[in-house]
Amino acid sequence: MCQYQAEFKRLNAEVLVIAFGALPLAQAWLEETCSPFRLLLDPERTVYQTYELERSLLRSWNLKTVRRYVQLMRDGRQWRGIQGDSTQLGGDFIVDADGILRLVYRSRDATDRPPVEQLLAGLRQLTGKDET
Amino acid sequence: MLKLGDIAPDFTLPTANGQPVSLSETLRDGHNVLLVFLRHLG
Repeated sequence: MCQYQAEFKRLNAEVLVIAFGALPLAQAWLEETCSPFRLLLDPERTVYQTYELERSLLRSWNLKTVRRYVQLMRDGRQWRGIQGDSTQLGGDFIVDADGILRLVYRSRDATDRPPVEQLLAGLRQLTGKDET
Repeated sequence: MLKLGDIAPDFTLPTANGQPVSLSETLRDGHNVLLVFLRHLG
Protein backbone atom coordinates (compact mmCIF):
# COMPACT_ATOMS: atom_id res chain seq x y z
CA MET A 1 0.00 0.00 0.00
CA CYS A 2 3.10 2.18 0.17
CA GLN A 3 2.60 3.68 -3.26
CA TYR A 4 -0.88 4.83 -2.27
CA GLN A 5 0.20 6.85 0.77
CA ALA A 6 -0.17 10.20 -0.98
CA GLU A 7 -3.62 9.25 -2.24
CA PHE A 8 -4.81 8.24 1.23
CA LYS A 9 -3.55 11.59 2.50
CA ARG A 10 -5.31 13.48 -0.30
CA LEU A 11 -8.51 11.68 0.66
CA ASN A 12 -8.12 12.80 4.27
CA ALA A 13 -7.80 9.20 5.40
CA GLU A 14 -5.92 7.99 8.42
CA VAL A 15 -4.92 4.35 8.08
CA LEU A 16 -4.65 2.30 11.27
CA VAL A 17 -3.14 -1.16 10.87
CA ILE A 18 -4.11 -3.54 13.66
CA ALA A 19 -2.08 -6.67 14.34
CA PHE A 20 -2.48 -9.51 16.83
CA GLY A 21 0.90 -11.16 16.37
CA ALA A 22 4.10 -10.43 18.23
CA LEU A 23 5.62 -7.00 17.69
CA PRO A 24 8.67 -8.17 15.66
CA LEU A 25 6.42 -9.93 13.17
CA ALA A 26 4.11 -6.96 12.84
CA GLN A 27 7.00 -4.56 12.36
CA ALA A 28 8.54 -6.87 9.78
CA TRP A 29 5.25 -6.86 7.90
CA LEU A 30 5.21 -3.07 7.90
CA GLU A 31 8.78 -2.89 6.61
CA GLU A 32 8.37 -5.56 3.96
CA THR A 33 5.18 -4.06 2.65
CA CYS A 34 6.67 -0.58 2.89
CA SER A 35 3.64 0.40 4.89
CA PRO A 36 3.95 3.93 6.27
CA PHE A 37 0.87 3.64 8.43
CA ARG A 38 0.42 3.49 12.18
CA LEU A 39 0.59 0.02 13.64
CA LEU A 40 -1.58 -0.82 16.65
CA LEU A 41 -1.17 -3.97 18.70
CA ASP A 42 -4.09 -6.13 19.81
CA PRO A 43 -2.50 -9.32 21.14
CA GLU A 44 -5.67 -10.33 22.99
CA ARG A 45 -7.71 -9.66 19.82
CA THR A 46 -10.35 -7.78 21.77
CA VAL A 47 -10.91 -5.33 18.93
CA TYR A 48 -10.95 -8.20 16.42
CA GLN A 49 -13.79 -9.65 18.46
CA THR A 50 -15.56 -6.29 18.78
CA TYR A 51 -15.52 -5.98 14.99
CA GLU A 52 -16.73 -9.58 14.76
CA LEU A 53 -13.87 -10.94 12.70
CA GLU A 54 -14.04 -14.69 12.41
CA ARG A 55 -11.69 -17.48 13.28
CA SER A 56 -11.54 -20.51 11.05
CA LEU A 57 -8.97 -23.27 10.79
CA LEU A 58 -10.22 -24.51 7.42
CA ARG A 59 -10.34 -21.07 5.86
CA SER A 60 -6.99 -20.03 7.35
CA TRP A 61 -5.02 -23.09 6.32
CA ASN A 62 -5.64 -24.64 2.96
CA LEU A 63 -3.91 -25.07 -0.39
CA LYS A 64 -4.70 -21.47 -1.35
CA THR A 65 -2.92 -20.21 1.77
CA VAL A 66 0.15 -22.37 1.14
CA ARG A 67 0.32 -21.15 -2.46
CA ARG A 68 0.10 -17.56 -1.24
CA TYR A 69 2.93 -18.06 1.24
CA VAL A 70 5.10 -19.60 -1.49
CA GLN A 71 4.36 -16.62 -3.73
CA LEU A 72 5.19 -14.14 -0.96
CA MET A 73 8.52 -15.83 -0.29
CA ARG A 74 9.31 -15.82 -4.01
CA ASP A 75 8.61 -12.08 -3.87
CA GLY A 76 11.15 -11.64 -1.09
CA ARG A 77 9.12 -12.01 2.09
CA GLN A 78 10.89 -14.00 4.79
CA TRP A 79 9.28 -16.84 6.68
CA ARG A 80 9.19 -15.87 10.35
CA GLY A 81 6.83 -18.51 11.58
CA ILE A 82 3.35 -18.00 12.92
CA GLN A 83 2.66 -16.39 16.25
CA GLY A 84 -0.65 -15.83 17.88
CA ASP A 85 -3.84 -17.48 16.71
CA SER A 86 -3.24 -18.46 13.09
CA THR A 87 -6.95 -19.18 12.61
CA GLN A 88 -7.82 -15.52 13.11
CA LEU A 89 -9.12 -13.91 9.94
CA GLY A 90 -8.79 -10.22 9.20
CA GLY A 91 -10.82 -7.50 7.64
CA ASP A 92 -10.98 -3.93 6.47
CA PHE A 93 -13.36 -1.17 7.55
CA ILE A 94 -13.83 2.41 6.41
CA VAL A 95 -15.16 4.74 9.10
CA ASP A 96 -16.27 8.19 8.02
CA ALA A 97 -15.46 11.32 10.01
CA ASP A 98 -18.80 11.00 11.84
CA GLY A 99 -17.84 7.54 13.09
CA ILE A 100 -20.15 5.62 10.74
CA LEU A 101 -19.08 2.39 9.05
CA ARG A 102 -18.97 3.00 5.30
CA LEU A 103 -17.22 -0.21 4.24
CA VAL A 104 -17.29 -3.54 6.00
CA TYR A 105 -15.11 -6.27 4.55
CA ARG A 106 -14.48 -9.42 6.54
CA SER A 107 -11.97 -11.83 5.03
CA ARG A 108 -13.48 -15.04 3.74
CA ASP A 109 -10.12 -16.77 4.08
CA ALA A 110 -6.54 -15.89 4.97
CA THR A 111 -5.71 -14.80 1.43
CA ASP A 112 -8.79 -12.65 1.01
CA ARG A 113 -8.26 -8.90 1.14
CA PRO A 114 -10.08 -6.15 -0.73
CA PRO A 115 -8.14 -4.53 -3.58
CA VAL A 116 -6.60 -1.21 -2.55
CA GLU A 117 -8.52 0.37 -5.41
CA GLN A 118 -11.79 -0.67 -3.76
CA LEU A 119 -10.72 1.01 -0.53
CA LEU A 120 -9.70 4.16 -2.35
CA ALA A 121 -12.99 4.21 -4.25
CA GLY A 122 -14.86 4.08 -0.94
CA LEU A 123 -12.86 7.00 0.39
CA ARG A 124 -13.30 9.00 -2.82
CA GLN A 125 -17.04 8.55 -2.48
CA LEU A 126 -16.89 9.99 1.04
CA THR A 127 -14.81 12.99 0.09
CA GLY A 128 -16.37 13.63 -3.31
CA LYS A 129 -12.88 13.77 -4.77
CA ASP A 130 -12.21 12.21 -8.15
CA GLU A 131 -9.38 9.89 -9.03
CA THR A 132 -6.14 11.77 -9.75
CA MET B 1 -23.51 -8.20 13.45
CA LEU B 2 -21.89 -4.87 12.67
CA LYS B 3 -22.94 -3.65 9.25
CA LEU B 4 -22.78 -0.65 6.95
CA GLY B 5 -24.29 2.43 8.54
CA ASP B 6 -23.66 1.31 12.11
CA ILE B 7 -21.57 3.39 14.47
CA ALA B 8 -18.03 2.04 14.53
CA PRO B 9 -17.21 0.78 18.03
CA ASP B 10 -14.57 2.90 19.68
CA PHE B 11 -11.35 1.32 20.90
CA THR B 12 -7.96 2.26 22.24
CA LEU B 13 -4.86 0.24 21.39
CA PRO B 14 -1.16 0.89 21.90
CA THR B 15 1.34 1.51 19.16
CA ALA B 16 4.64 -0.35 19.11
CA ASN B 17 6.01 2.45 21.30
CA GLY B 18 3.23 2.03 23.83
CA GLN B 19 1.44 5.22 22.85
CA PRO B 20 -2.33 4.74 23.09
CA VAL B 21 -4.34 5.51 19.97
CA SER B 22 -8.11 5.60 19.96
CA LEU B 23 -10.52 5.59 17.06
CA SER B 24 -12.54 8.43 18.55
CA GLU B 25 -9.52 10.71 18.88
CA THR B 26 -8.45 9.95 15.34
CA LEU B 27 -11.93 10.83 14.10
CA ARG B 28 -11.92 14.00 16.18
CA ASP B 29 -9.19 15.30 13.90
CA GLY B 30 -11.73 15.19 11.07
CA HIS B 31 -10.22 12.22 9.28
CA ASN B 32 -11.92 9.33 7.63
CA VAL B 33 -10.30 6.19 8.99
CA LEU B 34 -9.36 2.95 7.28
CA LEU B 35 -8.97 0.08 9.73
CA VAL B 36 -6.84 -2.78 8.41
CA PHE B 37 -6.97 -5.90 10.58
CA LEU B 38 -4.08 -8.18 9.67
CA ARG B 39 -4.37 -11.95 9.39
CA HIS B 40 -1.33 -14.19 9.71
CA LEU B 41 -0.58 -13.61 6.05
CA GLY B 42 -0.48 -9.90 6.70
